[in-house]
Amino acid sequence: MARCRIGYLLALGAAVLFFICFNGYFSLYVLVLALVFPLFALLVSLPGMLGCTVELAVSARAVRRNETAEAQLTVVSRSRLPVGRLTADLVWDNAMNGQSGRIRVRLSGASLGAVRRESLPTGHCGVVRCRVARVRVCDLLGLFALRRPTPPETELAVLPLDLPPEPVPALLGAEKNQVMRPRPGGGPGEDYDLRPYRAGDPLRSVHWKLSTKVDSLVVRETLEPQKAVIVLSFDHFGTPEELDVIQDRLDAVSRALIERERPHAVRWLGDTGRIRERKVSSLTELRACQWEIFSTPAPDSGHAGAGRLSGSGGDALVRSLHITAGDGGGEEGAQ
Amino acid sequence: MKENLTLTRRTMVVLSDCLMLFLGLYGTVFCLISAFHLPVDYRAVTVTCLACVLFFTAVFALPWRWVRGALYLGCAAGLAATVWRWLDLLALGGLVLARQVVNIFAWALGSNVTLDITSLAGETTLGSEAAAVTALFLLVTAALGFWIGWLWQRMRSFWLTFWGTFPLLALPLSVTVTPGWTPLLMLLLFWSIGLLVRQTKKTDLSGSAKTVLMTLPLCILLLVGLELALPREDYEQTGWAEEARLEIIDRLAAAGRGVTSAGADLGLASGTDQIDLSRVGPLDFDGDTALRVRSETTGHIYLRGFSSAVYTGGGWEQLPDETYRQMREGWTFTVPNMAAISSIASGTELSIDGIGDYQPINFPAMANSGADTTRIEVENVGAADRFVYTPYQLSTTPDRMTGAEFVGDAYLARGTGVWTHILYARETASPLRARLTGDAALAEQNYRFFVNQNYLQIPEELAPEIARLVQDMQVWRSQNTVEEAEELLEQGMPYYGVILGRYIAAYLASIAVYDPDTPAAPEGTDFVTHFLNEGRGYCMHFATTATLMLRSMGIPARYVSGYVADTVAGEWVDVPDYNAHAWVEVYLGGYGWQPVEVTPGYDGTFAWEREPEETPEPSETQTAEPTPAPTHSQAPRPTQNVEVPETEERESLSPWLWLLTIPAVLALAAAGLVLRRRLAARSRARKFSQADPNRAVIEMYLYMEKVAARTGGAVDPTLEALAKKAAFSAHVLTEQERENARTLMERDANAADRSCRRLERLVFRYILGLY
Repeated sequence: MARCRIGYLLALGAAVLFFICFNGYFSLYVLVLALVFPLFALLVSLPGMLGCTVELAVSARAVRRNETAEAQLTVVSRSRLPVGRLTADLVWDNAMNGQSGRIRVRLSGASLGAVRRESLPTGHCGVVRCRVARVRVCDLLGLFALRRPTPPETELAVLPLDLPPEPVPALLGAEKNQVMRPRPGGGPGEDYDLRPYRAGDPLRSVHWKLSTKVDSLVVRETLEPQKAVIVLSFDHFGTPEELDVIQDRLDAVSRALIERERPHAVRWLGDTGRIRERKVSSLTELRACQWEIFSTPAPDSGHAGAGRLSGSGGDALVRSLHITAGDGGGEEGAQ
Repeated sequence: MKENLTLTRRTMVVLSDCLMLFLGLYGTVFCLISAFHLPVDYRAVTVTCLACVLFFTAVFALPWRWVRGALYLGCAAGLAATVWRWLDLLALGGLVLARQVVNIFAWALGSNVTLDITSLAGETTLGSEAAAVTALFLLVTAALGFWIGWLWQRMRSFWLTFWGTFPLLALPLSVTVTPGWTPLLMLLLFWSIGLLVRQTKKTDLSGSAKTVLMTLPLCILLLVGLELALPREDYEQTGWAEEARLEIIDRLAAAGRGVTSAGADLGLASGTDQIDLSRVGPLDFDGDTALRVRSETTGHIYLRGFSSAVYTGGGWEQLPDETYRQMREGWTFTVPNMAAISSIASGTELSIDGIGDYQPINFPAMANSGADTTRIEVENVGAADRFVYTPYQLSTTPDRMTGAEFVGDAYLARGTGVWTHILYARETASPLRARLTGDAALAEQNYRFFVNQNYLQIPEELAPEIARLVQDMQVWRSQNTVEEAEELLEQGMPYYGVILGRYIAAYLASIAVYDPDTPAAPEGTDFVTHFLNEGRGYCMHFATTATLMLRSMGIPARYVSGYVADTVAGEWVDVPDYNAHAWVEVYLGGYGWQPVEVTPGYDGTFAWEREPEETPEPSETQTAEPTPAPTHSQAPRPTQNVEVPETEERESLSPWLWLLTIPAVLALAAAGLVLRRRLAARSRARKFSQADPNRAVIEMYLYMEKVAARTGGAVDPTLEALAKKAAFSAHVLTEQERENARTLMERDANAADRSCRRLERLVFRYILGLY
């Protein structure tokens, strides 16, 4: 638009010069026309300018890292009249690693609508938030501009690479030394334990035969093997490349656990210093968990293992895996 | 950008291209024709324009490249064959065109040059010339049609089109010739609309076409409205624009003349009316021409640039503007102590009237109204451009002066853009026969008071030295000078000032020698003191000293800068810069300012002192006639030198203006059809969306009945059932049912539209407004 305005000023200057140098009526006519014409052009352009709206969409809700993703800017002209020039600033930022960028989109005409697709960066994991910062529509001469409403923001999740599921024997190996615990609600079972009656115990559970022998109420309590609670934690800080490595591993381990039908928890340190945890037992829950992780800003540096073992473990057996970007990939622990 | 255009949109694009090409082609061709008054057959050229528009639009719209290429070659071959066949005719047409262009340029530039083609083409008649130019312009129209069409319809570039057509309009405009108004407006219309669609033309073809068709009538209204709002008949350029134009021309002319150097050492080239004497050193001239003068008489004339009133010791300055205002309007005079000569008490305030519109420089000529008037033309070639160099005894009065303006009583300032002035002077007007009468005499008496108040000034610190010099002069006696003075007195010369001036000149010549290499006065040393100490000087030294000596003796005097010219009757003579000079003017009561030569070696005699000669008959007209510089552009005016077709012939354009209504009617019809379709669609939408869903569905059914009747189909049974339910059931239809009915209606209407053939579809959509 600046170029148009400068061009108009030059043209106006030329008209003034012409008015001075040419002493005929035509020079006055041209000068007045040069002064009036921008307003005329604005009036003619207004229906097109006011009838123009912009819509924003992304090509997919989630893509794997390094796959192609596009933001699609659609210009709709309700008046079916062309616009001089439409300028929209497409702004994106990665919520996790903080990277951002801006793309200026220029369109003209679009009386029948127009679509512009712009590639979005998918080189790093994270939620890429995409919005249109400003929409300006110029008149047909390009001298005046109107702001138009901006469309709502859209998001795209850039998921980790689709690596093969990565089993972690240490997490599962602990199943051999099973710990038996009373089954909630009781019921039939091969393994059971005997204990004195406590108020509230169902009468079905009373071991009558033994009770008569010991002359006090003895209850038979069904036992079941208790599985360890698996907690995956990771370093939620570092460079974008480090974060990508961490998320790739987390994704692989988590999918391996899901394949073995092992629910687990994912735990990380949030941006406010609070530990955040999400239970994962299916791919859907994993995606939801990842969406939450990717929406949480990750600082460049932090304390390794800050969210490693603490958290809601209760008195249950907890097996944890802390994932880092280092060569070791992670370290297991139990409590 | 390729767009998949529907038939309607494609039609719209072709129509807009046709209109734009016609505007551009007709405007360009007829701008040329009308600007250079070419005797063409307007009907033939107009028809050719239309034919070219249709043909080239069709050719450029063809989707097959090889077909287009073949047609281009065919056009070129046809054009070449026509040129070959009409070679003689076209040659004559070219000559007539060249003659008209040259003659119009010469006329516009104020030149008398004309191009005569008789020697090349032999004797021709107007009819044969018209036929030849018409033939030429038929080909030019075809070529331009291809050119503009290519740029607009193939290249789709506004700027290329603009720069492809603008030079043809710039050609006549460059010499301030305005082409015919109708083609000019059409060209402006073409550019205006082109400017509006320039951004969308390449990316949105149908949108641009729509804009063209929509804005065309609006642009016509704008252009016509502007013309009505700005009346053309009595147009005169605005004052400031006129001044700016002349200023520009002036600057350009001055630049073309080179840097002014003439008279540089006499304070003339500084461009101001002040003289800085402290910088005056050895004279250095380069011999450039400063002035060109043509007089009706042969002789020696003084051309005054400007006079100075106030001596500061280091220079000469003008009187303040307030003083000049008093000179014109009057002032109050406080009587000094004059007990010895007057009974008026000292300190009495007398009111003195101003001289009004009289100009003191005219007094000598007015005092000798019977003297012969001589016409003198002075062209400023390289002298200081602020002044008009005027002869003495000037008879041109301020009310007859144009291109120059008097500044106080000091000089005549040059008007912007005027470099040559024609002035009238009564060279033989003599103070011996001076006799002012009536109001002029009263004005002169008042001016005499003014002179006595303002032209006797001497710096206090210099006054004793000047008085001593005067005393020395009284001791000095030159026999020749005394005899000369006595001779003048015997002739009846009543003015002591002139005699005294010449006596002073003789005295100064005895104590100082003329030396053009006299160095500048050292800093802090008075200019006159330096001159007297050195014992040498040139005109500035002599004139300054003589002025102060005259003032010291009570004679009103002033310093003057100018040029001395030796004229030859009726011939232009060059006045070189070394003819720049300074002299003294003394005021003679009842007559005016009289120049006195005080520099040794200069001939100080004036026309009135010489023997009477046979002088030419006085001119009847005495108005100063400024002649603009050659580069001065002029408004077009009719001239006999240019072969301009008769007005009646040019009027023949108007009967053919009806042809212009064809595209206008087409455009309006197209706009009307589009509007009709839009209104029908809007009306349908309103009916189908009304609050009562039963009524809305019935309207849908009625609409589909019309569509079916037109296309020979039938209304969808489901829609019919819904309509019956809406009409005869007591229930109100649900929104879902309304939407179902709408979906069915839209589907069937679309199918009906697609089932039509192209022409039927146009009728279906635009004339019946059914889709």
